[in-house]
Amino acid sequence: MSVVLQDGAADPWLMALGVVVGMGVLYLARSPVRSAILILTGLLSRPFRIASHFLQKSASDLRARNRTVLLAQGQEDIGQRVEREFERVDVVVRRDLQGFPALQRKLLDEITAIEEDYRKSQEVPPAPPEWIRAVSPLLKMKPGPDRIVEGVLESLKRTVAKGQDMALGEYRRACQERHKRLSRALPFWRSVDATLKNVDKRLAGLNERAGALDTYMERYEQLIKKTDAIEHTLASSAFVQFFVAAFVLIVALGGTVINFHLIALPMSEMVGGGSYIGRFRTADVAALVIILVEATMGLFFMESLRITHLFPRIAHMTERMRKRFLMAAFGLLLAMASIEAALAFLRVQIAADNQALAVSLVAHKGPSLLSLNSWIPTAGQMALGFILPFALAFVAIPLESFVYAARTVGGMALVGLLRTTALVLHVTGRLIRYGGTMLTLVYDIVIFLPLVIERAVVSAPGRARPGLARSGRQG
Amino acid sequence: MRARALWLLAVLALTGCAAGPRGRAVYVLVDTSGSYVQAVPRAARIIRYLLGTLQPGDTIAVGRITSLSFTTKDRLVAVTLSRQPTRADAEKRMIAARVAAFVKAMHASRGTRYTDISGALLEAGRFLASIPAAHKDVIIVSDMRQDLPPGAVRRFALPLKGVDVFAVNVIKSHGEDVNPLRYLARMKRWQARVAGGGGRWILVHELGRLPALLHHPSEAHSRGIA
Repeated sequence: MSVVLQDGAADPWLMALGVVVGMGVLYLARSPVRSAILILTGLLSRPFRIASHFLQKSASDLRARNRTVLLAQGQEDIGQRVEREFERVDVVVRRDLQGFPALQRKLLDEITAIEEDYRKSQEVPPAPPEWIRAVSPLLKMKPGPDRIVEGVLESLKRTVAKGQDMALGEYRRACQERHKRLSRALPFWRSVDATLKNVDKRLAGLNERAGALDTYMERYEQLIKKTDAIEHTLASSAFVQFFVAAFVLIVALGGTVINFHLIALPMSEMVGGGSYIGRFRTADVAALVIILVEATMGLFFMESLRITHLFPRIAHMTERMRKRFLMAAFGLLLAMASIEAALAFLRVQIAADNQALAVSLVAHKGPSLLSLNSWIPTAGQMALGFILPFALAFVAIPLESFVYAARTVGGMALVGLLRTTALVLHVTGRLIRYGGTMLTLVYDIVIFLPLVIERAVVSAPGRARPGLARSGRQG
Repeated sequence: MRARALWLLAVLALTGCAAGPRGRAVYVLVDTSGSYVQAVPRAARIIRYLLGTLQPGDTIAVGRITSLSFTTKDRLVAVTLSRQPTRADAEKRMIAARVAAFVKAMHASRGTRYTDISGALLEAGRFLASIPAAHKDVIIVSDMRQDLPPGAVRRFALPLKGVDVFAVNVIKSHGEDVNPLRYLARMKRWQARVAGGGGRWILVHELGRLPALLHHPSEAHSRGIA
């Protein structure tokens, strides 16, 4: 557009003319250019919007699926817990309450014995004979001068005193008998007290189980109702499980590395130290395979014990077949542990041999025996080699937790990723769309002069806007 | 599932084959000429060090540099170590014992009259060419002063492609300490000779540097002389 004179300076008049002409051209092309910009930006933004909607819908579907899986897992978990609680209740009932009729009979017998003793202890001892009361006025008489009467009265007194002594003795014997009966009833009371306390304790244990069952059943009802609260609880639990299981698996990985180094060297004695599979030493690969086989056997062992539930086929086995499978897995695990112990022994021997060789080469002497007969490291390594496979077997438990929790955590992470991507796409589509509108406004700014003129012409007196004129005619 | 396992095995086998040769092959040449025979115990120390570093499956050979060295008769030992570590250790002990006996025999010897280094390098190169190994080294313990008997022809290219040639304990003669240029020119000639055969020449001044250079020969070669 710039018009340059021969001496290099621009002619301002020509430049102004060029600007005016350019504005005119742009003004004339305004309508198609605006349409082109808006259509183009619309076309560009539409795929982003479609992709955003698609990802949003996918995220919603995935979230619904995650929710279904989470609730199903929760139902299964609660179901197992309820089942376990019922088993415990069954054990309590069988153990504590199956002897309840005998206990009741014993209680009744003891209570009957106590009642009998009590009844007997209530019997009143016999009263003094009636004749003592009849002769008592005679005894109160004052003896006269008659010696015969005096003798009779003395004799009567002695007889009365003797009768009273006999009655007192009888009363004391009766009291002693009552005390005996009461003291005989004391162990029965204690026994009854102990029996009732025992019953109370057993019923308290049962009540505790019933309380736990109530809690589980409440959660189960919430699961059936599919409330948000229970979903949140399950998700939190899954996160905790995920990180705890991951931590335990990392610890187990450390054990695996130790185990690997324990058997890698002796494996070179079996498969050769200088052979390779790809870039890896065959001995290392063989050691790793042995460890993985041990882990697999441990997994099967735990499955057979029904501690883990990763393989439905094992869980659905008949009891007889499951026991056989259990024995086979344990046998193989035991064999592998024994092999590892032997390899650990071999490792010590090889290391000692290498050390002796190094010493003999440096010292330029015959093979030195050093302290090769030290049995402590040998026994330690053998024990480690034997124990580690069994320890690794327990990895199946955190592995199962990790797998189930990873499904939930991974699903949530994927939903988050999908939503974030959808948001980014949505924002990008919007930016493109508004960018088109912005471009049209910039276009109008460039051609502001013709637009001002147009507005002035349109709003001049005596000229009505076509739209208004039409509406006026219609009105 | 079975097909997938077969594919996996095939891939493993192919990668195993494509990996090429591995391990090391070392040929130690010990100068037993009259001017150098007193340095044979030092060569034995180097061999013992090498035995300590070799892995199961590696190859080691020890040859003498005599008046006419292009012969297998001057080869003391040529063993590819067993892949089993304990057997490899037993073989190393056997080699060490044989080298010790050789040193003992050389103790009373006056050494050979001539020095055929080219013939020894030719023999070492031919031997190493027949061994499939990833790293091939020749360690030559000599003063690198060739003195051929009358009639011996040694004007040929040495078959040392891919071989690192370490010259160790190269003793300077009386005239060379007066005029070092003579020594440098002699070393340059050997370097050109080895390079002409496709090998890499590494002159080891300090014996203590040999272990490091054996593990990183490229570094030494890039600097020319270690």
